Amino acid sequence: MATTLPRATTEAPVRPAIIDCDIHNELDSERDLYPYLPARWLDHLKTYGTRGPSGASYPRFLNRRNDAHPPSGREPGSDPAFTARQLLDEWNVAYGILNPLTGAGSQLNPEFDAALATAVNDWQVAEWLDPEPRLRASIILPFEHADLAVAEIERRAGDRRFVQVQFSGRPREPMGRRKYWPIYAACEAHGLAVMSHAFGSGGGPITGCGWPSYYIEDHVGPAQSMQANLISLVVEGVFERFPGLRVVSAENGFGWVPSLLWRLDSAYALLRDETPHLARRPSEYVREHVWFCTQPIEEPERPRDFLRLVEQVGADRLIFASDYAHWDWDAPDTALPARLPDEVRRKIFYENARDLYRLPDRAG
Amino acid sequence: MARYIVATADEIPPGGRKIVEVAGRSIGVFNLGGEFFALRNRCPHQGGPLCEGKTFGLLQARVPGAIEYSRPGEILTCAWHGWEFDIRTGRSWCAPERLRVRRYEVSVEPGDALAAAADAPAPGLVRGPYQAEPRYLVVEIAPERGSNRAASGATSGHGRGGGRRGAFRRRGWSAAPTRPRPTRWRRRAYSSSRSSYGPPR
Ligand code: FES
Repeated sequence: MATTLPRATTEAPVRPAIIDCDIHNELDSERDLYPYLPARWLDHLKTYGTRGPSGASYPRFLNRRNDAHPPSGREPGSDPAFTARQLLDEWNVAYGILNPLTGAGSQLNPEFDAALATAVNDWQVAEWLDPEPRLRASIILPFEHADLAVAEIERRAGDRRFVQVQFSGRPREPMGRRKYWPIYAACEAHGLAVMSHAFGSGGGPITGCGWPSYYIEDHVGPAQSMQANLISLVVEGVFERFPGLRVVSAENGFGWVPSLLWRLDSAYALLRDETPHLARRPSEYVREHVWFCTQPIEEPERPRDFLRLVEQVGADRLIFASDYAHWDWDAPDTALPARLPDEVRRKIFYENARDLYRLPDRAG
Repeated sequence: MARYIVATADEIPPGGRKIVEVAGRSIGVFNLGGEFFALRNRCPHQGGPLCEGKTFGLLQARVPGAIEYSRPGEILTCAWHGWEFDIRTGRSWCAPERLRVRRYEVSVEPGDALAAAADAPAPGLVRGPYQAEPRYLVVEIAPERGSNRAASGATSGHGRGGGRRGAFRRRGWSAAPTRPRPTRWRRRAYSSSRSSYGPPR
């Protein structure tokens, strides 16, 4: 195995403050949740275990950076002090948004799903948010059951450290469907954003045409699900019905956004009478209500293609995300494949997320 | 050319590695079946700690389904995103002509020779005392060129550094590259850390 000598320390210039919109706080094991589960559900967990729809993702999806093993021996991403050191301190992260991917939110048993989501949120408060003032978090929800999900939102809404709710990338129905509307109503009322984080599964394959053979197909697959979710959110009229709603897409890429909006707008011109509840062109809703996390960054061969892409998606729509400590994380200093003007860089790395999540300024 | 003693030869068993800090650089020294190789511990992709990654064999398939597995342990995958590099050459698997990590010469030298050399020390060679046994691993490092040196992560204090760290320097909003249309992977040449690839020096 690798032996590492202590590295020479040099006086590092202070990096500009950033906001990291996708940090994964992991469980070292399921046992981390035991203290937060009521006895009834703890017994259930120990007796029956967890079960969501099959086919959510390859285990490979959850691989971690090789260099992110905490000295405590815990799993990468599961040691708050080490995450603070390796990520928040190292990169001058003013705010980091936690997105635990624990299986809560996709359990087949609805009551258990709700109890597990509550436990995960309590665990976030006690072990992450309370000790570390730079962290904010997503509320984990039993989002397939709107009544239970709204109850959890009500329970958390008073704690402003929760800035959004988390959906999996592949819920059982496209995100605009009415079964989810009570969740959006609660989010709008409490000023919470809705994040769709890539992967997870409502039971269907990651493609629109069956099960693929390779992990690489999963790795690039979330763009398909997010397109379906985005089209659904727009054409079902969610943004007309909930004009204060803010949606965040994480880990789904953004290179596909301009062409999807072109197509939606032209289709809208042809088929407007089918969806008369839409008062505006689809692209207008997206440009007003939807933000896209940068990771995994698009890496075109020619730097100027990246610049054009940012222009087309809109520099105010992009928010930096590292995806720490997953294997495909993006390093803040080196992720972008082209040089951006300082003011654009500041928006993507700080200002857009500050405004989106209404965070007090900490750039100094 | 400065020479640095980085380990005793028996410190790194076959299949093993040691990551050392010399001349402001983090360097991984690898033992492949008794032969030693040294690579810069900084990935040309995003500047990740390349030499802390896992090693594998080379997987190839000339036609789909005809999988060949060879050279076990000789392919290094970056600790961050897993780009593959040939430990012997420093070349990347995906773009071997264009994309490679800096490689350094390693020699295995007996302690008494080093003791003699230390009397008339070459720059960088640490003074003894050396014993005749065991043998030592010596890594040779050419000074970096001025401009590149300023950009190197090790000397600029930017932590990991390397990779595309120059990406944020202002080039104008829609600035066209200042160089001819890049071929595959070539765009990385626009980052400030050109020292981490190109022919090994
Ligand atoms: S930094 Fe090494 S593969 Fe990305």
